[in-house]
Amino acid sequence: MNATDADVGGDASTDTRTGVGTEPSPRRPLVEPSVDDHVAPSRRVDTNTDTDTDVEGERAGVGEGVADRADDGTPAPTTHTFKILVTGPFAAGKTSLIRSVSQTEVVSTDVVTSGEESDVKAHTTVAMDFGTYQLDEDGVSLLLFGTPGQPRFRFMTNILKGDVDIVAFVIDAEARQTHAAAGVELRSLLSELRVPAVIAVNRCDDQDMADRMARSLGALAGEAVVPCQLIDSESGREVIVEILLTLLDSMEKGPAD
Amino acid sequence: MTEVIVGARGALLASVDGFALAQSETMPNEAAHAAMLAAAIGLAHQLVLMGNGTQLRQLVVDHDNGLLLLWPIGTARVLAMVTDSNVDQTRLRRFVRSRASLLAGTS
Repeated sequence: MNATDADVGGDASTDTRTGVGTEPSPRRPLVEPSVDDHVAPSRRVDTNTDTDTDVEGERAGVGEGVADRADDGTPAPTTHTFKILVTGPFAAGKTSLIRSVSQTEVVSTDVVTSGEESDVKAHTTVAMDFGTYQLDEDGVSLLLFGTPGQPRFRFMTNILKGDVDIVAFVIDAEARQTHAAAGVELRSLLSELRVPAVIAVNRCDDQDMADRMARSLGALAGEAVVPCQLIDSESGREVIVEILLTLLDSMEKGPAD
Repeated sequence: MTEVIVGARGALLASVDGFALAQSETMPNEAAHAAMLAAAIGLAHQLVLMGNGTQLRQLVVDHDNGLLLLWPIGTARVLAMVTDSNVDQTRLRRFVRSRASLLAGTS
């Protein structure tokens, strides 16, 4: 290989990175009926922007950009934006979850793995994944921030965890060697953030088994546990539904002390 | 490299997935540094798209004590150099380019 400009500064023609803005997730309707059905009208958030004082609507850069009035003059729905931290051990399925549900092109920072990690999987997230999920009729927007899983990238979790509304903690049911450390991380994170959590137990179809696994990690009785197969987008949406329900419950209960 | 380029203080070569591969003695031996370089380059590739670009050439962190310059080396490695603010960047880039295949591990 000659030393050329292509050697320093990347070479798109031979770039083996994947997911660096090149893997658009499938476009889906903004409102999934199966999800919408789970959001009971009584749990819906305020739809009048004129009187909206919700903190979520005041978050700079999010929760904005919607018209005050629709074309027919009726109040447009308020957009309530929630920040979801998708975290968990290496190779648990965090990127798969975001890719399976995001309605916008996923921003990902996947690179090829090296060393022992390449025996586990071919690519890994080195900075973050970002995807979105919206329920237009309910004016709810989820921003999904995925972290790398390896401890050496912990600084990225520390950056991304600011101002999160809920943690989606993903574990691989079959990678039991990761569970002990994952449990420590889960409890540490939640005790610091004091936000609700949903535990997604990937590669698991059995609710009882998922519950036992999550409890063994230290998940509390009130924390939702979802068995899932995150290579399947339908399964990913079940996790999203649980996130929405948990968020709505949390809003009804008010902030934790 | 740090001996040839005036103002270059240290260099670190890392894999794109965050492992240190080689570094000059003047660089602190901090495991997280290689991971941070990988994360920074990973994000920079995305920022290139924001500018309608297609290829990241260089990432510059300009701070009160000098510069941190990052270059993707091939597709699997990242090179970082810590330099003084007044380092000859053109010469530095030419120097790195001339050794790219060596740094990429392909020569």
